[in-house]
Amino acid sequence: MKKILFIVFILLFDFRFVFSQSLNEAAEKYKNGDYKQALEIYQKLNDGENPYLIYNIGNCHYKMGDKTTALSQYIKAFKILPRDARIKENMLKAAGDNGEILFSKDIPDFAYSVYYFFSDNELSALFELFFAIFVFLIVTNTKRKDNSLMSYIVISAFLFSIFGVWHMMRKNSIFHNPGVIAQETDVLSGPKNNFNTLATVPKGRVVTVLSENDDYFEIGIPKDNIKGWVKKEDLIKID
Amino acid sequence: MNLIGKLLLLPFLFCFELVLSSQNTVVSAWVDKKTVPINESFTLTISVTGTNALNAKPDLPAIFDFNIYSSGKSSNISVVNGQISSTAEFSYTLTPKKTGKFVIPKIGIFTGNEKYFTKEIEVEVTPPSFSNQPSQQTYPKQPKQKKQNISSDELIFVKAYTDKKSAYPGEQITLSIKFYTALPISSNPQYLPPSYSNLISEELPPVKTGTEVINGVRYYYAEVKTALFGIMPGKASVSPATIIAYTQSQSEEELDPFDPNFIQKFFSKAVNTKEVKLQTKPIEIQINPLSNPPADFSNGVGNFFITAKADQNTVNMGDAINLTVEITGKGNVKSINPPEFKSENFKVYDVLSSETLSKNNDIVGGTKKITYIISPTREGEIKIDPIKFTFFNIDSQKYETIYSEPIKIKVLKPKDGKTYDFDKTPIQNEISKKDSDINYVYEKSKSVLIFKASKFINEFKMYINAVLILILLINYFTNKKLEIIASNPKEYAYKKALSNFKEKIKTVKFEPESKKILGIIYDSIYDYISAKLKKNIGHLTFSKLEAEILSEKKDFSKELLSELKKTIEKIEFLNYAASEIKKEEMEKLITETFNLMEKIEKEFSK
Repeated sequence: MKKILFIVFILLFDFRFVFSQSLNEAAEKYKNGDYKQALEIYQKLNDGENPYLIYNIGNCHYKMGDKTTALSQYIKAFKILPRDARIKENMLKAAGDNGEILFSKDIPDFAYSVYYFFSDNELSALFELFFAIFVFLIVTNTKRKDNSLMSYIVISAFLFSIFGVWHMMRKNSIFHNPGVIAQETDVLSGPKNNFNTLATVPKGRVVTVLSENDDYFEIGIPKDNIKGWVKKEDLIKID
Repeated sequence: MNLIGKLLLLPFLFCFELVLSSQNTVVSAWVDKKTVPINESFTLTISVTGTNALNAKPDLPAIFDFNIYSSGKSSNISVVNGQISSTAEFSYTLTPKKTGKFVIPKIGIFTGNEKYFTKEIEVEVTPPSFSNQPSQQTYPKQPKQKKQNISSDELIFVKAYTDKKSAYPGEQITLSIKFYTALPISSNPQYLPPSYSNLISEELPPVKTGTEVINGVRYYYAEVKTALFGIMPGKASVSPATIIAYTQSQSEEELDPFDPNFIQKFFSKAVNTKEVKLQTKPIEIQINPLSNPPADFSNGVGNFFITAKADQNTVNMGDAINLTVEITGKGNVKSINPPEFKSENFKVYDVLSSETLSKNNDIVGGTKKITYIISPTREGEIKIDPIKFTFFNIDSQKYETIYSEPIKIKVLKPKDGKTYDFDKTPIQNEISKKDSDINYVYEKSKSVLIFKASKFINEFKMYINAVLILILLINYFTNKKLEIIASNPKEYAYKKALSNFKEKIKTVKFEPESKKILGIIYDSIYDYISAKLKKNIGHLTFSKLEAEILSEKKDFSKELLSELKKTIEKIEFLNYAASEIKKEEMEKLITETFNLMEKIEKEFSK
């Protein structure tokens, strides 16, 4: 058993060491302006769940002039870690460079900071956590038969309700199932060429992906009241 | 502060920057003589006007045909109607080494931002002119016999000395390096100046030449003087200076250097020359500390006087006044710190300073010019107080404080009735944002555990929710059940009598002793009947038990009662029997009892 633990420890340590070395190498390439090489390393390291790596990938794309892909990467990183200032700032800058306004100037930045403090996954996890605590307290309280845990039950109920509602509200956010228009494209009324063109969307616009079939995404742009279909190759879907 | 007032003042405050930036830098160089005899020197002047003129620094290239000495720098800033002009002039004394046409190459001037170049200057060095040379009568021809008795080392040498061995910091020390020769030389010697430790140097051109008789030998000499100023109390030193001269070979026909036609003769013929390298001895100087300098000591050491003048004596509120203070005298004016200008009636916006050096009679002096750009803070007749200047008077060996004359200024109301608000906060240039860039990459790995954990929970949230809701439901129904039991336990026991009996009977499978099994069956029967009768009948005799059952249910089956009686009696019989009960017999009894109880249950349900 000890041997297995030791081997696991060594493997983990080696993995962290290699990861760190590669990260340093990529940072050095980036510093020297070799963004392509840096991007390749970051992409190799990326498992799709590390917001910092995704952000770095976005930076490489930005520096190589592909601001649309950069924006999609920043949004992806933002969805995982919305409270990171660097990620947020770069996302807003890339969006601005693409002619997109993600945060309205009429709403204070503080409000956005609060609203986007937790990611969707974190809100969901917090809901589950407080719901589990609530259930545990209910069961315990039933057994005790003295209602001594009632105040805790109320607090946990309040918290899981808050996080639940918050999570539900976020479904209306621009970052819920987002996509970035990769190149100027027509929005059709149906998922085929013979449908009417409803609108033309410029490159770099952030849209909401509603559904998809083999060749088309159904998208919505609520602020412009547009809903229709675009070709899959014209949109970068952000998972 | 009133914004309009600030805006009105700003043009003047920034005009220095704006004017200088719009002004082109002009660099020029000239010499005072285009044709110069070899035994004379000439002056090269480099002038810089325009942007950063005060920061200009000439980068002299190697000029092999001339010895070159710095003879001073003068700078000037003038502010007229907000227009600022600045000029710096650098003077050099050049002495030719040989005759012919020579070119002073382009000289680079670095202004801090850019490098400018002067034009090349051609200078013709002619054979010596003797209009200024001493007459043959004053310096009779060298007696040949005398010279032949002296070694060649004594006929050409160099010596260095200072006029004082100790001085205060900032006090002038004059260093003389004197080259003597009684031998004919092929050209003017090359001078490699010494280096200095704990000393600042100012060359004192021009090179002085002449003749001097030492021990009966008449020498031609050239003397270079340098003014030195001690920096810090302690030891200071002058390293050896080097002179490289080319003397005529002894085998050649001798030429008398004091012959009026010596150089003409010399250059008119081809000669074999010999390089002679001479070095001075190092010199040490003691720099003594100044005793107890006052707090307002300006760092000036010498003898100075001070004047002050304003460019206008009647101004409107908000207008700027150029107050020019000049400190003039002997001493190193470069080292003087500008006197502080303090006044409640004026706000100081900028202080500009320049200096002009003079080296008359080998004494360094000059003028330090300080221009204060000030603006009155109130209306009416106000006075610029005397400017105070404290220095160490080298003549009296004491600290001395001198004052400029006060100046009266009449301040009128602001033009167009504008008001001004002077606060104490210095105006700062605003930051001008040029561009923006994305934030830098993350170079170090950070923990992503929380993101992974939340994602994991999110992926299984349906199952988690289902389990949690199920727990809640179970809890609810369990609680309900308990409430029912608690509200009517006899009724609950009545309903659950048979199932409880069965549960108990099932436990006998694990009991090894037959007597105990019989006991359990017996007790289970009585418990069942107690639950059905909703009263505790204990272990009554069967007749009493029968009476209780019939009192509760009068139409109870007689056959079942009889069968129940037989079963109870059988259990009692077996229990008291001495022998062990066979397994098959026990199983049969259990089955029979089981079936009987089901029949009784049905009977009670009727």
